[in-house]
Amino acid sequence: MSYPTINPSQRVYDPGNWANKQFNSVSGAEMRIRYGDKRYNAKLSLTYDNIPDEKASEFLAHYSAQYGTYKQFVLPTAVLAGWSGSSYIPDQSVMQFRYAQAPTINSVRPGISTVSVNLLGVV
Amino acid sequence: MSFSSGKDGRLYIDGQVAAKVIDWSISTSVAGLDTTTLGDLDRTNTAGIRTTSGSCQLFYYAVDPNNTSTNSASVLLNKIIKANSSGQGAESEKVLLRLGIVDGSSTEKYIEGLCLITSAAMTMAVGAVLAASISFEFDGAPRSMYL
Amino acid sequence: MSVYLGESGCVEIQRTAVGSGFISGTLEIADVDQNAKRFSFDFPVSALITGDRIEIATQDKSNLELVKDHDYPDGLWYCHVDQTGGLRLYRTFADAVNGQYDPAIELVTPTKAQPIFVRNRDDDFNPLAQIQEYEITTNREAVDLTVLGDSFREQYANGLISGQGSIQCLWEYKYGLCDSTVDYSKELPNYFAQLVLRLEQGSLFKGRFYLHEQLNQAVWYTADCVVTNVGFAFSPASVVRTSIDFVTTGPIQLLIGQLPTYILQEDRYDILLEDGGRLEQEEPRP
Repeated sequence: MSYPTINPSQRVYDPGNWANKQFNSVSGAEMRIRYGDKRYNAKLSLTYDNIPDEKASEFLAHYSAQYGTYKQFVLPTAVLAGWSGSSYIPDQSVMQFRYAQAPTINSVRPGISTVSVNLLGVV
Repeated sequence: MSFSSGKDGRLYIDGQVAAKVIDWSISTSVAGLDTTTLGDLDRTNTAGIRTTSGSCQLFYYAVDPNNTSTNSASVLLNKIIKANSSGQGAESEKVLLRLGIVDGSSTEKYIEGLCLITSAAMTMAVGAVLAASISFEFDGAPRSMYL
Repeated sequence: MSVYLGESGCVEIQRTAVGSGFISGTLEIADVDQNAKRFSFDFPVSALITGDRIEIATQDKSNLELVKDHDYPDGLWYCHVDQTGGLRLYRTFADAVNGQYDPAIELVTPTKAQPIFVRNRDDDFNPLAQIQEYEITTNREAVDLTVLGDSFREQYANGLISGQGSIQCLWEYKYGLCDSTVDYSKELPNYFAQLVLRLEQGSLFKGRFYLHEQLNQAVWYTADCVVTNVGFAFSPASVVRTSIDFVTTGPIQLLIGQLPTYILQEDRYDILLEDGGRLEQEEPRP
């Protein structure tokens, strides 16, 4: 089952970092050693305001299909709706996303809900 | 067909026509829920919760001073204000209100609903006739409507 | 049917004070100038007006040491107030208005400081002189009782009653030499200019406004009034005019009947009550 192709109302993206370690000497000089060639630990927070309950239940179904935070998946281009720059979602060969925690569903009124999703990029 | 004015107005309390009504007003509003998504250039909405409320003013006047049921203002005041010597009054009652417009047709125009009186105010002042100002909110949707 | 002309009307006023308002102070020994027949004490400017009939009383009920041959705790006299706040006492209203030295009552120097009360107390109604015209209006508040369903407006019939009016006078502030044949009991228009500024006791007066006045029948309004506005009009080659606006306070009555008359002695002088007021005659029965 693929991630729901619904345009989000809000989006917050943290691109993550390359694996490296910093060493600081007594004099204040810093030395860094990079241990990998891939960016990791990217974070993506998506909010879907006032969507029909049927659309909200698709997120629950997808979360169940991924066994919660276990499996990683590919995100559709719909998550970047409204972004006019080049896509900042890495290619799936480089990075895929998993659920950082369970999505939260806030019922607004009968038939309408708000969904919040937090995703974590993994290499 | 003609315009309607104050002489065509009526207020009914629990099915009985109310006496000495100065004015009534009613208002219905719907909260808009924002459904705008990233990529949209125009705001989109969907309907939220609907609220119907209103107010009325009545002179504090009894056709029969010994019978409080003939004083419409007193009837509404007693729906919300409950006195008790032990300090805990009874729960406020809801009242069936019908706001009518007599327009010469066979059936007058109206909106009717079970209402909760949300506020009642009276002021006694020099040079003014005692009147009660009542605010109410419909409990759920109007029971019936013909407007 | 008759037609009535304005020349049969007049205005009478009685000097009074708000409620039981009084002025308190201390009459010091040095406050009395026996030679000048003049005294003073600490009182607010404009609280007393020339021509006021004032009651002066000691606060501790001891004999008032102020007037020669007057050994009582209180007394009732007409006063004249000069520009520095000094007071002279007189036995008649006309003498007080003119403020001359000779008619003034002789004073004695007190032997000690005396706390005193001073109160305006005048039971007489004096006609107002130099009136060119006056008007008085009474009105009743209408409260809208119109309700939904009514086709005609309904009004509350028992609203509050109020009144107001104005008096236009030729301004005058004292009696002149040629006034010797005129009845000296007439009030002068300048009194209102002072009344509107009076402190402590307010700008209250009792008024009688005659619509028609004859010997045995009169029609008049009577009410307590508050002076709200006094204006003066000056222009070259024209007389000085004053305009007095007032509102009524309390009950207003329109009375029809015999004018208030007073019992006289054989020598035509008034028979006085203990408080110095005149003895009013009862209306004769038909």
